[in-house]
Amino acid sequence: MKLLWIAALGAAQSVAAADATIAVDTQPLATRVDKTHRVASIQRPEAVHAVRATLGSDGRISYNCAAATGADLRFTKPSVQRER
Amino acid sequence: MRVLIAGFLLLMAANAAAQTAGLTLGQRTTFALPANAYTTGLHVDIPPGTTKIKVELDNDSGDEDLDLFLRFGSRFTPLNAYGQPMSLDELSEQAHYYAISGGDEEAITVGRSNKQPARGGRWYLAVVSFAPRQINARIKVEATTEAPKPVEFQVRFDLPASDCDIAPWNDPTPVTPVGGNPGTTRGEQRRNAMIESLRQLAAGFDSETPIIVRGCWDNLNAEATGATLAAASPDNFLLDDNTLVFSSGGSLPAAPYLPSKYAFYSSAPASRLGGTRACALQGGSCASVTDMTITYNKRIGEPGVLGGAQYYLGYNAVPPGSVDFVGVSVHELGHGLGFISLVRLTANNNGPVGSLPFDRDDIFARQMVDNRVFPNPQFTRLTNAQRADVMVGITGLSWIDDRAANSPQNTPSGYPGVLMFTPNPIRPGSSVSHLSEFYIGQLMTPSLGLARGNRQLGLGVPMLYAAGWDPAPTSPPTYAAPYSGLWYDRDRDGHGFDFQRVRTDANGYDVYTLAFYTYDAQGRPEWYLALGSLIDGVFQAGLTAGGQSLLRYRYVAPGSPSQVVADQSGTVRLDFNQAADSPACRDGTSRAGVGTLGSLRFTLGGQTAAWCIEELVPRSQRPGSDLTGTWYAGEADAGWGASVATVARAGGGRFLFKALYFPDATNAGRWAYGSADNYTPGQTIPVFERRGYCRSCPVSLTDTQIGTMTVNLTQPIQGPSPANRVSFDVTYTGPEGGRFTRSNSPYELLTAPNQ
Repeated sequence: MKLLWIAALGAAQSVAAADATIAVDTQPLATRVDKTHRVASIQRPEAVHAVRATLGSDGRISYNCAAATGADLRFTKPSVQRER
Repeated sequence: MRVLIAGFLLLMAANAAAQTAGLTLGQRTTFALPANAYTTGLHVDIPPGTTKIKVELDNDSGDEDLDLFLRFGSRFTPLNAYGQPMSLDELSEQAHYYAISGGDEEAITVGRSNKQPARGGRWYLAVVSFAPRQINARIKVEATTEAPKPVEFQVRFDLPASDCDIAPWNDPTPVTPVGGNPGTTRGEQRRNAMIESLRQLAAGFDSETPIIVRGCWDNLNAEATGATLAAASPDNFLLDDNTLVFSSGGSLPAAPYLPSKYAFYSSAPASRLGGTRACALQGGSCASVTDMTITYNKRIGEPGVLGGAQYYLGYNAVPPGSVDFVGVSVHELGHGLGFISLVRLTANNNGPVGSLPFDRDDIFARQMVDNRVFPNPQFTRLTNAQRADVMVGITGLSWIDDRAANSPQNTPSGYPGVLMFTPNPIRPGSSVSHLSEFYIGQLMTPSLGLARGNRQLGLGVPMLYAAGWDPAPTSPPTYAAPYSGLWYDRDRDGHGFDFQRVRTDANGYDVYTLAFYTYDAQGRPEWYLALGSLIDGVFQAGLTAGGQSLLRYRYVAPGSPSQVVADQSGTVRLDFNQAADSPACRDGTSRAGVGTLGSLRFTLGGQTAAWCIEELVPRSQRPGSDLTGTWYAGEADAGWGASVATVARAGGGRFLFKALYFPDATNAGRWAYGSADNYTPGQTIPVFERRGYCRSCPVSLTDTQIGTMTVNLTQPIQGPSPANRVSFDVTYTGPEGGRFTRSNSPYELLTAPNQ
């Protein structure tokens, strides 16, 4: 009998640990819903910051921030939207 | 107007019928969702003292797109004001948080310092399924009292592109461990050094959401005595501003998790504030979406570049003649965290020097003032020319947010707050987005201050707190609570809005109507109507089945429902939160002493505009017996009525203004107005037709008397009252013509009394 109770308790614990299942009220999506999510952000590649190093005549390296220019502009991503 | 009433009934029915099902904390719960369907029927009770809430959603099919929405305190409405299914935009607007990636798994984690902080009480959930068949969604909510989690950076070394070579991360060249970096190949050491950089960068920041960083290599500028070492920036900027409309006609969804509206946030702090990954805030695939990208120069180390100097990949002090990989990385990634302004430093096709992208602030620039003028004007409130001027003022631009200004890291400079870098001439890539060179040894100065071996953000940390990284617990936000009544934009005299509360629905939301009295392209008076709930200070006008919310009606006959004219209708949205910061309210017009403001965006006839509206009659000027409201003759004679406002006069008198809406001979909706300076019930007043100007035209107003009305209003109540009566006889003067009369008609409030 004791073993039976232990087995039953184990089963109950298993049930408690398992997923619960519920029913919820649902609504159909409006037909105008676009399944492809709209891009919600704006990419602004002009904001890229770069660090340049300069080699001094004494062999020391100094650092300075600069706009990413020239080849760095390949970092630019296509803009999905234009300013109005 | 009867259509309007039908809308109310649908709303009431929908809200009264639906109940939400409770989730058990810590237990995964499964529920079925039909194909292309959603539910707003879930809630979870969070115990008091909770400091962190985590919600995870997936489904049993493994490859279907689900979206998750979360809000505190009151449920999502199951249907909109017209009984239509909720759109994604409507759910996003009602949500306090959302995760809308294109993937089959979503997660939101809210901590104690998010805009709507984790706390005890009932939280509501909505789930959308785009699956073409029924699926079983699985959701699990956990609540803990854990301390905030130090920010975790996830590095993507595996996202190649034409400008992103990932091979250097896997360079197999054997090397000896150096300066604490245990890597035994050059690629491994590079990866270790970048991870060490992020470890240094993380000091002082927390985030319940991992921040994703993309690492790249490329051929950047390289010369014998100078070379670009690395370049970085946030990958995206997010904005809570529904008034920004692009040439495509699109606009941005609400971003209710951002504390400041109308200001760009960098992606990383936005992910932190939104409690979910960047892809789940932006939508779309999560496969390659990152918060920021850093690109290193592959050419460093070549014999002819910088004297052959190599990146030093150790974690300790850099030996002479080498390039400080870790220090440079921390500085650049600091920009990626949001230490960056978007103010234009060079003129381009989109604007002059000093202009703001899309005419919007960024949260970084908002913390600065022009310290040369007293009281110090906010940098973002200056004109483009004024901004351009202070940007070369050397010592004129101060960061004044207290968290940095009062930080022990801030060395007093003799100027307010923290001085920003504003050399003359402007240095693109450096000006404004760095500390002044006065702060020797600080990493976020233009020269990085690496000589002292400093590799942490220092003063940059409390500065970034103001840009979305503040770890301090937040208090729940309070939202604007506008008055019912007439509103107008002082830049558009003669146009107006009647914004009136109708009732409170079963969810506790106030339902409002918005009537827009305006003029068409020929200056003829016309009106439009919207219906929706005021939720968190935003009037969420319901969308009809055709996707419209600002409706033009055509009168049919007494007792017959007016009909919506779809091809003349449009959309509207009205937000009262932080409206003073909206571009519409920052248009240069003085609004000194104004009370509550609203930022109103509408689209009519393909034209979109954003107006700044204010109360025509402030609450303090309303009489004790306030007749303000929208009046009509009841269901039996719907289709005409009036917007009424009363103003207290000295000696107990009342000024009465009345905008009468009625049909012309073609049944198109027109309006006229009358007023009485010292109103007494039963008084007969002249009615004027106003020919005005279109919504984008110069001001032009002409009034012509077109009849009279006898107004006997005594009891501002909803429902019939024998005491309230109106008579009028007006003749619309346009080519359409049309006489419209009523004699001793019953009159009652369509909207809630304003007592």
